[in-house]
Amino acid sequence: MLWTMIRKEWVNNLLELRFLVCATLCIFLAVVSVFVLRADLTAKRADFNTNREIYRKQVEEYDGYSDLQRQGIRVDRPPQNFQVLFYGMEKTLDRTAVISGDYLPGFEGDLNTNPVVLMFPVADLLFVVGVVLSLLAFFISYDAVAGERESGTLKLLLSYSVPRDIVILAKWIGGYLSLALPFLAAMGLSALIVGLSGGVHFTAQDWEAFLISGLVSLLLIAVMFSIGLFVSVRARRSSTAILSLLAVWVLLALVVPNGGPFVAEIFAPVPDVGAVERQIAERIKAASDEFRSMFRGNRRRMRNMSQEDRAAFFQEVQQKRAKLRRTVNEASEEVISDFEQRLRRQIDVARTLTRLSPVASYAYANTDIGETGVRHQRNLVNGLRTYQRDFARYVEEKIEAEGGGGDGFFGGSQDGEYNIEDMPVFAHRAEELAGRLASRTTDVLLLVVFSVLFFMGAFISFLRTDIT
Amino acid sequence: MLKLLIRKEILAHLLSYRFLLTLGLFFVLIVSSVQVIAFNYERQVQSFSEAKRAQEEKLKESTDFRSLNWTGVQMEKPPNALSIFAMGLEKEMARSVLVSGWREAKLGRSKYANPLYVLFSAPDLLYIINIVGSLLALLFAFDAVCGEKEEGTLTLIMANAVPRHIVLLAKWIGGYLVLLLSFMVSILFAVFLAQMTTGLVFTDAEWSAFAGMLGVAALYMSVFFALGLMISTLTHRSSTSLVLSFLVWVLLVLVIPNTAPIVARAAAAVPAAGVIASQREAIQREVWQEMRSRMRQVSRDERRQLRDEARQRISSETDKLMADYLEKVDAQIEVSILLARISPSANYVYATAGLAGSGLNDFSGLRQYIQRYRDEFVGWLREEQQRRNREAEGISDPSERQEITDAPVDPDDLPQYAPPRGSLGHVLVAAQTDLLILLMFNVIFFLGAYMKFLRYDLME
Repeated sequence: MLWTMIRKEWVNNLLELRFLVCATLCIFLAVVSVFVLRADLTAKRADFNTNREIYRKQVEEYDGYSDLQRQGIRVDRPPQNFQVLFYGMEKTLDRTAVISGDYLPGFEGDLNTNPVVLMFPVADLLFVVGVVLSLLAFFISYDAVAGERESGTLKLLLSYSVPRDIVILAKWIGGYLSLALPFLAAMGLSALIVGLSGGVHFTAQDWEAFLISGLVSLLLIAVMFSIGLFVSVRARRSSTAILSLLAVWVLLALVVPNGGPFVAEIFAPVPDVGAVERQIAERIKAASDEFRSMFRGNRRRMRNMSQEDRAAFFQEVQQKRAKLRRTVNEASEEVISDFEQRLRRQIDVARTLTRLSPVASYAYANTDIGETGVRHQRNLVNGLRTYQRDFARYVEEKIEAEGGGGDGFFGGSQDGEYNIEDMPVFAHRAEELAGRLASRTTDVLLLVVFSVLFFMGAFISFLRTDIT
Repeated sequence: MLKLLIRKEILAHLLSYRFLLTLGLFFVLIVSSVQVIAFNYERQVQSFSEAKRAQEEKLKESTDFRSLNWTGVQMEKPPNALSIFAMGLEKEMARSVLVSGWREAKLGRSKYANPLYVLFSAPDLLYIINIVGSLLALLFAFDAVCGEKEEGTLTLIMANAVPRHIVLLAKWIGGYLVLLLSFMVSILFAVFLAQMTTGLVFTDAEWSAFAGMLGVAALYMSVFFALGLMISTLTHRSSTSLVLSFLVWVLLVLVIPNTAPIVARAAAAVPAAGVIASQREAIQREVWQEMRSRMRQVSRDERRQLRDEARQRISSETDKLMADYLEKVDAQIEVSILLARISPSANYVYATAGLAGSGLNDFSGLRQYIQRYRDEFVGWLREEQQRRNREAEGISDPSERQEITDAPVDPDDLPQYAPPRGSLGHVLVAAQTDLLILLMFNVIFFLGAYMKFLRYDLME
C-alpha cells in the first residue's frame, strides 16, 4: 500500500513542471559552481606555489640570520581543497602572514586586490543547497496536502481504505525523493568534476568528508521539506501556504544566519583590534623605552669606544633586545589570548542565536567538515603561531651558534655561514575528520531534531485535519 | 478610467494576505537590520575616536622625532554613517593604515574580528532589497494577469469598454504603488527609530545620498515588478508563472552576480602578490648595488646626491611597476563588474554601494588616497626635519639642541588624513551605467508584458 502511494506521489511530482525546473536548476547550479570554483582553486594554488618559491628565495638572499630574524619569511594561506564545494572562509582577502622573530603572526591583506568577490555571496554548493534547494523544497511541498485538499482529490483518496498515516508518510517519502534524487545526481556530477580534474587532489579523507557533507545536506533538505509539509497541512489554501513558506524561507535561509554576528556584537562585545594593539603597546612600553634609552645620546660615545667596551656594549644591547622580545611575546600572547577568549564567546553566542535556523546549522556543519570554516581558521592561526615559535627558536639558535656579539650591530657576524636548508617550513596539516565531526555534533543533531519535529508536526496535524 | 482601475488594483492588493506578509517582512527585516547595524556603527564611531585620541597622545609623548620615519603613524578612516544601509566594502575600508617613511602603507587587521562576518554577508538594507525586495516584487506581480484569468475576472473586465493597455498600466501602477508603500513605510520608520535610539546623525549630503539610495531601490524593485508582470502575461496558470518567476529570480539574483566575480578572477588573471613583492625588492637591490659601486669613487657631497638619486630611481621604478600591476587588477575588477551586469541585481548593488560610499570606486579611491597621503607624509617629515635642523643650528649645547630636534609632534601639524568622499553628482555620474541598465530592464520587461498582453488569449 505504502509503496503504491509513494509511487503515485513520485510519478505525480515527476510529471510537473516544477520538478523539472527544480531538478535542472539544482544540477545545473551545482555543476557550474563546482566548475567555476575549481578554476578558482587551480589559480589560487598556482599563486600559492609561485609565492612560496619567491618567499623562500627572498629569504635565501638575506645577508645573515639577523636579517632573517628582523624581516622574517612570508607565508601564504594554503588553499583548501573543499573550497570547490564550500567556499567559506576562503573568501577572505587576508592571505599573507609575515613570520619574524617577534610578534604574534596573523594573515593580512592589502588594498591592491580585486574586492568584487566581497560584494556578493559566493555561489558554492553550500549556497546552492542552503538557499536554492531549501527554497525548492518549499516549492515541492507547499501544496502537497493543501493543493490536494483544494482540488478535492484528498477527499477522494481518503474515501478508500487508506490509513491517514500511510498517506502522509507516502507524501513525505515521495516528495523527499523527488528532491533528494536530483541532489544526489548533482553530488555525483560534482564528484566527477572533482575527481577527473587535475587541479583538485582529494585525499581519501576528503572523499569521506565529501560523503558526510552530502548526508548533512540530505538532512537539511529533509528539515526544509518537513517544514513545507507541515505548513501545507496546516494551511487552508495552497496560495497561503506558499506565501507563508516564502516568508519563512527568507528568514531561515537569508536573514537569521547573516544577522548572527551583528546581534552577537551587542550581547557579547569584543574589544576593537586597535584597542588590543594599544593594550599590548602599553604593556611593553617600559621594556621598549629601556631598550631605546640605551642608544639615546650614546651614538657619539659608541664611536669612541675601545674594542672591549664596544663588545660589552653590544652584549648588553643583545640582552636587552632579547628581554624586549620576550616581553613583547609574553604581553601579546596574554592580551591576545584574552581577546580570543572573548571572541570565541562572541562566536558561540552568534552560533547559538542563529541555530534557530537549520540553514545556519547546516552552514556551520559543512564548512567545518570541509575545513573551510571557523574551526579551520582557528587551527590555521594556531598552526601559524606554532610555526612562528619554531622559526624564532631556530633563528635564535643559529645566531647563538655564530657567537652572538660579533661585529654586526644587532648581533650575529655578517661573514658567518648563512644556510637555511634546515629552516622549519610552514605546513598546514588537515585535522582528523573525527575531530571536525565531533565539533559539529550539535549542529547535526539539531538538524535531526528539526526534521523529526516538523515531520511529527505534519503527521499529527494531518491525522486530525479536516479534509472538507 | 485609469484612475478607477488603479484604485481597484490598490484596494485588491491592500486587502490581500500577500500585502500583509510583504509589509510584515519588510517592516521586521528593515527595522531590525537598521537598528542592529546602527548599534554596530555607534561602536565603530566610539572606537574610531578612541584610536584617534590614542594616536595623538602617542605623538605628543614621543620625544624621538627621527624614529617617526620608521614607526610611522596609525591612521583611521572615520566610519561611514551611510554604510549602515549598505556595508559594501566598508569592512575592508575601515581598517587602520600604518603610514611610514620606510615602506609602503600597511593595512591593519580587520575590525570585524568575528570570522562569521566572512562566512555570511551583512543583512543590511542593500541585501534586503537586493534579495527580499526583488522576490516580493515578483510575488506581487506574478499572477496579475494569469491569476485573474484563472479566476475568470479578466474576461469580465475586458467585457467592458476598457482598452487593454489601460488595464495593464493600471495593474503596473496599482501593484507597484502598494509594494513601494510597504517599503517606504518600513524604511522611514526604521531610520526614524534609529535616530531616536542611537547617536546616528546624517549630514545634508548624506540625506540626499540616502534619498538617492531609496530612489535606486524603487527603480530596482520596479524592474522585478515589470518582470513578474511579463511572466504573468506569458503564462496561463499562476502556478506555472510562480515556478517560472522563481527560476528567473534565482538565476538573476542569486547565481549570476555571485558567480561572475569568481569567473572574472579566473578569466583575467593578475600576477601573484609574491611576484610583485620580489620584483620590487629586485629593483631596490639593483639600484643600490649600482650606486654603491659608484659611491666609492666620489666625494662625500656627491655621495649624498647619489643617494637621493637612488631613492628617486627606486621610487619611480617601483611606481611604474605598481602602476602596471594595478592596471591589471583594475582590468580584472572591470571584467568582474561587466560580467555581473547581466543581472539587474548587480547593477543595483553597484549603484547603491556607490551612493553609500562603500562601493568599488570608493575602495580604489581610498587605495589611491593612501598612496598620496604617504607621499605627503614623507614630504612633511623631510620638511619638518629640515626646519628643526635650521632652528637648532645656532645652538651649541647638545642637550638643548636635542630638545628642539626631538620635540614631540603636534598632531595638528601632520597632514590631515581625510579620505575624500565623492559628491552626490559625482557618484551619480559614476552610477549612470547601472541606472541606465536598470531603466532599460524596466522598459524591456514592461514592453514585453505590454506586447504579450495585447494578444493575450482570455479564454483558452
